[in-house]
Amino acid sequence: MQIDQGMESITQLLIEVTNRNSAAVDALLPLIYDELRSLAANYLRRERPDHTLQPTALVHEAYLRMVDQTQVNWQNRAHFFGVAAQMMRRILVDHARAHTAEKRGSDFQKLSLDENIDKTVERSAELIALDDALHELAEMDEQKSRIVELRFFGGLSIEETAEVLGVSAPTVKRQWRMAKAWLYGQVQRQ
Amino acid sequence: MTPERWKQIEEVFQTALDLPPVERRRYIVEACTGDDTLREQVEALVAQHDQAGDFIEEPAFAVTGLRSSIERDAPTLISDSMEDPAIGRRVGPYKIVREIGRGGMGAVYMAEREDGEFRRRVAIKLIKRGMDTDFILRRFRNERQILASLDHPYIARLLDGGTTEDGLPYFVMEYIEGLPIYRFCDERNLGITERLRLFRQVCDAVHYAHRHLVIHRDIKPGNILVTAEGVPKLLDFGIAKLLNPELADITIDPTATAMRLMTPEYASPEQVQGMAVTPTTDVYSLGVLLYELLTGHRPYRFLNRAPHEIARVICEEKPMHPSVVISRPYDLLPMHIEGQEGDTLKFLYRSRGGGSGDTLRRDLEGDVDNIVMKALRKETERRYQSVEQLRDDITRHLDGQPVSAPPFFPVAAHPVVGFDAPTAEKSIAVLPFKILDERRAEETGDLYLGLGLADVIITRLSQLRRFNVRPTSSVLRYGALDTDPVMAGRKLEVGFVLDGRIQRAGENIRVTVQLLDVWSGGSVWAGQFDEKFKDVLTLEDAITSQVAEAIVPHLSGGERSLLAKRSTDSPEAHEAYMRGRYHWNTLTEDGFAKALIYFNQAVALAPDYALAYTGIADYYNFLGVYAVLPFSETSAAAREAALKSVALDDTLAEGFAALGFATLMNEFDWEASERHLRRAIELNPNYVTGRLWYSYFLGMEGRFDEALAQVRRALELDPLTPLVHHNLSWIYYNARRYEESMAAARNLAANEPNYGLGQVTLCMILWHAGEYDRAIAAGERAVELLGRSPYTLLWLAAAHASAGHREEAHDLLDEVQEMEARRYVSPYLRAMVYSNLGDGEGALSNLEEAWEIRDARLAWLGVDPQFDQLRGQPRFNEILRRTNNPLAARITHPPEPATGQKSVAVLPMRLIGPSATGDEYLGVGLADALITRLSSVRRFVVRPTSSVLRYQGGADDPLKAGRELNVDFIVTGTIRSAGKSIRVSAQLLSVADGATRWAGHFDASFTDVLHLEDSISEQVATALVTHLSGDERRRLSKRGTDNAEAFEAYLRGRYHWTSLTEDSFARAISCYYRAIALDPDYAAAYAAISEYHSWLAIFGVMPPAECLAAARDAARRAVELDDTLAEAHTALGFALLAHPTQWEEAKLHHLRAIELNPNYPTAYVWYAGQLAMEGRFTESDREIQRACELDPLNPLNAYNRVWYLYQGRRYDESIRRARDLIRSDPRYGPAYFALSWALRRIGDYDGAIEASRKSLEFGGQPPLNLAAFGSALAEAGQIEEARRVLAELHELADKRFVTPYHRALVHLNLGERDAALSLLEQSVDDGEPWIVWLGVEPQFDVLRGEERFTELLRRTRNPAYLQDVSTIRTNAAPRSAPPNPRPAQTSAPASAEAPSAQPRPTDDEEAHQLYVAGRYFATRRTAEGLRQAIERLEKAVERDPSFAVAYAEMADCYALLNWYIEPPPADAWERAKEAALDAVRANERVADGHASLGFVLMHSDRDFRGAAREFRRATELKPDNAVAHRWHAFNLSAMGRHDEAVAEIRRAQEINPRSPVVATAFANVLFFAQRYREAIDQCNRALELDPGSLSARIILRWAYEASGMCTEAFATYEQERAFAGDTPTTRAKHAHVLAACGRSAEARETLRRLVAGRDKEWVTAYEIAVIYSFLGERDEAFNWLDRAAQERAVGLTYVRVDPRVNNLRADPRFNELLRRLNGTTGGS
Repeated sequence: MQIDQGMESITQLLIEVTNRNSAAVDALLPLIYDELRSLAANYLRRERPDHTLQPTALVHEAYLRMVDQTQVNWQNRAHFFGVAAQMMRRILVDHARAHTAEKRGSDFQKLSLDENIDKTVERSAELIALDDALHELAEMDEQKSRIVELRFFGGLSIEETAEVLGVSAPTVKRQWRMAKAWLYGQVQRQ
Repeated sequence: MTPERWKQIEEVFQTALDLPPVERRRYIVEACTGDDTLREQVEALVAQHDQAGDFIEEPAFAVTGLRSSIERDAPTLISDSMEDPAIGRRVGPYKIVREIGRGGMGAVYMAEREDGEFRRRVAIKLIKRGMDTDFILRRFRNERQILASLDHPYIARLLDGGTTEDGLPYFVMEYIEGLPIYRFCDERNLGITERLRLFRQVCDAVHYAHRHLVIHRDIKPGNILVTAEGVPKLLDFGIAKLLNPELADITIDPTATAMRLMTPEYASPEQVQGMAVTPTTDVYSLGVLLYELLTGHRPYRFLNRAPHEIARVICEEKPMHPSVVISRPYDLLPMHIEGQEGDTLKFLYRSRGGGSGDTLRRDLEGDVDNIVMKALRKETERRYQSVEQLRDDITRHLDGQPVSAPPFFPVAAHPVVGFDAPTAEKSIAVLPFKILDERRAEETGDLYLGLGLADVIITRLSQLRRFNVRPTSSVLRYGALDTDPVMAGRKLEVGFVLDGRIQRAGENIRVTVQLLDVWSGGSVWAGQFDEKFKDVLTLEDAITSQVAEAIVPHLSGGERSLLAKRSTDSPEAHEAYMRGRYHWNTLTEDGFAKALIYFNQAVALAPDYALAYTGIADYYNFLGVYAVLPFSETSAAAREAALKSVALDDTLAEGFAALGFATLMNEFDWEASERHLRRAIELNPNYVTGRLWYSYFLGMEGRFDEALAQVRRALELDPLTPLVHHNLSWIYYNARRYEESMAAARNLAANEPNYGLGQVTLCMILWHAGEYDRAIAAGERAVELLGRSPYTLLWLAAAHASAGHREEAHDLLDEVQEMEARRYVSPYLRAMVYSNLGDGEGALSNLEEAWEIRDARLAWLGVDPQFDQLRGQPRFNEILRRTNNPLAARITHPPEPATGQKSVAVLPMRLIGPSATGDEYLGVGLADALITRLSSVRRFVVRPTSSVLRYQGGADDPLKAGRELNVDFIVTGTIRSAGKSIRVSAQLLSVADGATRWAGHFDASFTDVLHLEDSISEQVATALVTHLSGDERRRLSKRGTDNAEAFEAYLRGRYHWTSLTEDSFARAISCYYRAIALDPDYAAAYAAISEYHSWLAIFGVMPPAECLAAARDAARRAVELDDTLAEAHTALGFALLAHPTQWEEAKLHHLRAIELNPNYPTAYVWYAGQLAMEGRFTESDREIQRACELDPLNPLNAYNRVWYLYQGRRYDESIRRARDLIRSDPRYGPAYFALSWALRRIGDYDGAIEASRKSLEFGGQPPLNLAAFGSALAEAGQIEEARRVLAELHELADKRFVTPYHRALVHLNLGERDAALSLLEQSVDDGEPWIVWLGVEPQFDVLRGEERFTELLRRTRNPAYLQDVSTIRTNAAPRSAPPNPRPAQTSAPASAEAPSAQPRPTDDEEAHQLYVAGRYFATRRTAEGLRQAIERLEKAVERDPSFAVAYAEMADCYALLNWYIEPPPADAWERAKEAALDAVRANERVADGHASLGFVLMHSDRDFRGAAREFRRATELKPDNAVAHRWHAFNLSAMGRHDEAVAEIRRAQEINPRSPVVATAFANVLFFAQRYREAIDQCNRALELDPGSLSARIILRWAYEASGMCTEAFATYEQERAFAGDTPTTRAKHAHVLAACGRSAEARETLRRLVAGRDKEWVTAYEIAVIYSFLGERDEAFNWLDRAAQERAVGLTYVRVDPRVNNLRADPRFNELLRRLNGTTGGS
């Protein structure tokens, strides 16, 4: 059975990432980013605002599409997810920025009649605020920032997050609660 | 912050969090000793942790994640708010320390007060800017006493309130340290029992508040803190009302704002509907709280936060039972969402006492479920009626006793509201496979593969009936590499999409396929196939079978073999076929040609390849359709190929379909054609082309309904293929449903602008609609797209011909002529051009030529509207006959044109388009609205909505509908809605000739529906009658509301209402409430609400008192809002009727309604009803006949006629009409009901019993019908059975409302007069609507003359009671004497004690009408109304100079002018007196004249004694004349005889207990008696009866002022100002209240301005005197009193007793004044 060209390379890159090849990470990022962005765009287009699609599903799907699963092990998968979370964050925050920028345009008055749109704007602003706060957090405590990224943007569970970071689940939980409390304060102050 | 500092914070923070909450603070303080900053930082972080809730817990994509937590209004204890500018500020005596919470209203802070030695902590709620500050504060002042008095251990006290320096309102509350209730429970892992105990304490607190008349209105977990000791504390009691009075007060509520201020999760249905908030509202919110507390789940889930969505969910959705919901990992409260689903539930169970899901379920099942669900009932009356009941039930449960709450939802799980796949069936679209290297594929000629493979897979999958497979033509557009398969699937409305990629390398081919679930976007199955290219058939096999398995597991053996069936075993032939299909699907002439080559190649390679033959057959058939070749040629070739195909494989639908079509086109063999086509559909119901050909066939035979059914099915199967849409438009056109045809054509052209055939149909329908320019443009576009062929040019020529462009048409004909040598020209199409040129001869000869060459288009001849002008001509019929068209045998002529008055019916609009579901209401609603509007133009008669309802969903034949409705014109239309926009096409058809008088198309967004209505109604009206007058235009353009959303809600309501089921009524009413919530000034919606309640009362669904009160209130409001709305007046008249004593008013409203809209049948129905109730049967029958004429198809009208005839003792006619009614609808219950009553009267008891049984069977209103049944049995002598029925009724009465009136009848028929009378008395007491019939109902004849009965009749105030029985009988002109089964109890003649009959006021009918009109205007109580009234009354007495009551009324009007006109006309009193004297002179025995005279005497001459004499005479003549009593009371007051005055006014109130006017008068009398407290009570009573009463407010304010209740006085003044606006009188009132309340300086200033401007803005001198008196300026006061005397101010009448001038009494000038005033006639 022949392996698709793209699939092969991603799988290979993932394996190399696990082997601490940093060039592989750089090569991997744009590939995953593109795939995720197109997937995310699909989902963001969905009409129902309540459709709580989990990024996990998104990432899973990207994973299934991009990676030859017979070739990689769990660790590769975790890595993939780690990178994906980072990507998701960028996608969503970019989206939010574009969104709020758009809102400042001429149609704001008309649009604001619709409460849902207001909420979206509001939410976009919060996403941006959160992103800023995460950068700030990373400066003091890189790991907590990572955890939030993985969980909130990547949709990973406590256990998955622990896997990706190579720490125990209780550690993740403790770090999470602190990060969350701090971020909450920051975002609320915006 | 440095990483080091961060680490330090983390250390303390983490340790603290590991401790139980109560110990944390202490630990932090210890750990941070010496480092206050650190402590603050940690404390802040812990607080944030506590508040953060679900913040970022739901991943970013989950929309609800971020926002809700931040918005949450959670006043928890601590927070770091260094940046908040409020910190450190002073608010009143307090200093703000830190923020503890934030919500929609503002923020809550902890603040401290330094009070000498001790420090007091409070919580301050600071209201954000933008709230109505003044109003909040005013309310707060009103309520503070009550709120501050709430003293309960579980209630946080409200301490104070005020405004900050910069004007923001704030409230000061007790500061509570504690956790929100959920967190408390979860952190302590409280089990169900403990949670219930805690909740019970919350109930205690709420119950306590309710006892103190405070409703919380905003109970939610954030408002309940639990202290470390476990004591709950409720916050914000009464605050919601202060902040948002709309939520607090009854009736109106500007929803959008209100919603934002509420917490939707905890809002009750009545709150979201803007209805009255009662203690049960808190019960409901407590129910939500309990639900969440116990289950950790939300009872409701909102799709979004739009107000209507919230309202929908709260009002309609049923929550799942607590015991069921706990096992769901969804809809959890945010704080329970933790990690994976399984963990989540484990966490949930753990925090509820550590049990398993099963234990928890057992704890909740049964009692707890029932308790929670009872608290959550949508209907307030079915909820716990008090918090106490809820609490007691919890106690009972905790004590192990049975609870009161019944189980009412099935215990089984409620089906989850899920999202279904777009189609219910298993539907799939196979997208063209993508070729990965397209460039190479192009080189190797492999491009066909992608589509070809998809096509064959489609063909094979289509074999399975359990599948719905989109045909190839639908999916063509999704061939591009970057197609998003999921989006394509959504567009194609399928559940699944098969998407594949093909890679070919040399001999190898790799196909990767994935099957996607369109809804989830997820992959269901994926596969990869590597094959030798030769094995493409094997590939197909594999893919089809695997896809089939994935979608429908467990295929049957039969299905498997169907799937496995290969069309050929030759790979080469198969490849050729696939290539053919590829080219075929390009749908170009060139593509067709190439396809044919490949199909031919395929059959050459495999001569037994049936499918390939169908390709050939299709080719020829389509070529015929596109008129590339003559049908005669194509159909022969098609037929030949198709025959081969079916010979090879007689299970191939494709073959039979092609054969069927070709057979018709080739041989005009209709029978054989239909047989083949049906066979095709039978073989493969999913084969679209088969349906398409069949629809053509059916259309040609004029079987349009069937044809449309086929097209619709085809559209379902294949929503995107243009040809199907084209066919839809085409069939509609031939069915003469032009508006729908137009809609379909436009839709097609819009979606497929490059589809040539679409432009052809559009061209045709446009010229038909008279839009010639656009028709020609479409024709030209068709030429562009399809090429300059005879076919396109002829259509264009026809368009020019119809536009009258003869030259252009002929030029084109010439051009076609030139082509004829080279190309086929259809003579049929040429005939069409001639026909449009008006050249019948040319048309006919071309048609004959068409027959000569067997032009297959002739199959359309039977129906084609283009040739309608030729129909009936022998030559035409001959051609038609030759085509064997079955229609030829039944050629009919159009009906002769109707004559007579112009009448029009608007049929419900037909909804078309994919998103029509959910918008059904629009079709009826829009028609209803148009009917309402058009009805306002009197020059034509419009059939009411009830008549046209039967055509809901669109009449198949509008002209037939028009004939049935007996109208001259029909308005039909279609609505297509797509997302936010709708398109309405409407046309006005002449029923006589089917001609379109007008057609129009309107595109609007949903918010423009009103605008749409404007345009349509105006254009229809203009088409009907030329030159609309300005007034007519104004009426037409009158909108019920300008709020589109409210209008939409109203439309929905009308839609539900018209369904006439109990269920739909309920839905209707909730829509109406929504409408008025959105637009509180929406009169029509109020009228509809009133109508609803009246019906409830009549059907005896609920106790009448409340329904009728609601009906009346709503109707009054409607009239108030729009005095010109006939519906409002009818509703009010109707609602008033059942209300004793208000007969006259009811009648005035009925008449007014008829005057306003003479086309409104309901107005006649109820007016006729009232006339019948009064025994005026002849008049009644005239009116009801009018209703039946206006609305002939409404059974309700016919039923009412039957009923009124029965009451009029015209039994034979009643029976005959009842039977007619039953014949037209044998299941119409009310007809049987009325029939049974009438049959009894003619002695046909068996018939009556039978009819009663039927009415029980169909009627669905058991108590009424059951009673009638009982009566019938009793009268028939079946006493035992009758008693059984009666017992049943009484038993039923314990459970639900059973009308006493009908029970009384059963008793009566059993000979039990006393029991009957008792029940009738109850019925009168209850104000039951049926008592209106007491005066005339034949069954009561046996009671007439009896004292108890007479008394009852008197109480109902029925004017009929004044006539004795014999009059009724004479009037009624009975045709058959009622035989009485038992010895008749002779009816005594009118007893001597009975009040003497009023003489008939006038014999002059016109004078009477003028009088009634005059009364009507007089009741408006405005100066203008009085003037109008006087004008009419003058005319009335001119016609009949002996018309006493008219004089009396006129006198009253003149007298009243003194109150309303400023300044009053100088001679008003003289004229009043003159009229009153005339009244008495005209007829000394008319009470009204004496009363009026008395009124004039006391006010004009201050002749109190003379007045007293007149009043006494008036009450003597008419003891129950409330007006005379009321005025007499005033007269006594003015004389200072207060006790007698009170007695007198009390008498008036007994007569008229629910009159706001009497209550106000009572208050006034009490005020003069200086009995202020009682006066206030009476004012409130008056305001309860009429919340809009200005006079009640005036007296109320006086009483407040006199009692020193200045706050209240000012508040009342504000209301007066709000009602009356800023008038001089209002400013005088302002000065009045200022002076009375000691704000002298302001009062003086206001007064000064009033006096200065008095020549321009008149204020009565008496009031000025009163204000000076308040101010203690006696000289001025006396000056002004003198002036008042000169000006004959009415206030002076009461100066003797007016407490407002008490300051002046001691002055000698006062007595002097009195003497002067009363002169010789002075009082005692």
